[in-house]
Amino acid sequence: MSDKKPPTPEGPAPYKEPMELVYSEGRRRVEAAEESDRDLALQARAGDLVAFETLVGRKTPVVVGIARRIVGDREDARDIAQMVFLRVWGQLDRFDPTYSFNTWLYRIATNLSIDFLRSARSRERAHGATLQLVRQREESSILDATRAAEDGELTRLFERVSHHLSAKQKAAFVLREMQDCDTREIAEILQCRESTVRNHLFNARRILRREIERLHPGFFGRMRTR
Amino acid sequence: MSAACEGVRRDLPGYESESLPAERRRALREHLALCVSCRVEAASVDPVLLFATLPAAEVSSGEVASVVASVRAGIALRQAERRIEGGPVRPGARTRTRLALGIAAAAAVLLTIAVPAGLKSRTAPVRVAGAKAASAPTPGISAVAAPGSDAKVSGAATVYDWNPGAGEPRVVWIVDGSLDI
Repeated sequence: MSDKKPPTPEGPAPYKEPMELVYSEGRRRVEAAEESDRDLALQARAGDLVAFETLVGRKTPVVVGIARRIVGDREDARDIAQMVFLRVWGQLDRFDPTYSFNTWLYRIATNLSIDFLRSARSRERAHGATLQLVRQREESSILDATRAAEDGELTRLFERVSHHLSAKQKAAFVLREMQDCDTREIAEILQCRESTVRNHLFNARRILRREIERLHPGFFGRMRTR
Repeated sequence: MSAACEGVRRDLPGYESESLPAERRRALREHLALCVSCRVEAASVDPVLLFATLPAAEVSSGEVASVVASVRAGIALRQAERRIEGGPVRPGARTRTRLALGIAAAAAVLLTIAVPAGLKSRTAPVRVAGAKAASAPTPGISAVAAPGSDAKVSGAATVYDWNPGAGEPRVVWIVDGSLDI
């Protein structure tokens, strides 16, 4: 018979230590929400899925935003965002923490959007005649210039006229005007020289100006008198 | 017209020619987004300036949740595939595994060539295609040389020669990150 006495209400607690919470996914998510992009990327690289999901949740709006402006379609932009994050996950061991996580992410997002745009354009060329008809109908509706001052119309106008930009010109313009990146950062994202970025921006503005004038001749003069 | 409007209108040509500092550029865009009369003025200077006021594409919380869920499912699928293949499941692990496999395979090929030569004569230098092997090997490990231009392996490879001495066979191996098996 054992001489060890069972614990009594007055006696010592049966456990030496109070119970300790070792891991809680909910608590981990709260902690992760406070961490920087770089730290989350490093933790994700070590296999922390919660850190990666936090990063995905945080960066989805900006990635969808970039893709949306480049490819011009909400659904496609969402698909591209999924591909971007899966590629990020697969290439996390290549992330250099001495550089900005955003630059690396934007590079992947821009490259995938450009690839998508190029393949979409080649599909368009394959059945161009049908699309030409659709586009003429779109054009007649978009020519309702009085609506163009509204944000939604401005977005549509951009999608319409930016169709004439090359994929790289469009990406450079979107990163410059809508993400507020400077030319050095855009050069890192597009992996080209800063002078090339300036050329892309110059040509993008020239083409956009020409297309707006073609679609809405004299519209901005009318806008001034409203 | 307020002083802010006057400042913004003065800056419009600089914005267009990319000569404005980042702070004034940002301030101009913020002002244009709020001030209708300056927006009209900007559009008359250059209609493309209007696109600077385009709001960021709105992404609802539902869309964010949908992307997160799809990414989670995609990662789970990849991890399951790797488990079936018997590989590691950490992100980017496949790249490192393939590199290690490449090096191991190269070493195995070299062992096959080097061991019979070492057994034949321990002083005879082992010849690797394009590599300048040491003429009088001494015991120990030495990096022999990077292969020359006529080598069949990549120019980035390094050839190591391990000569333990005491009648033991010599081993030569190549470390070449570009091999992918």
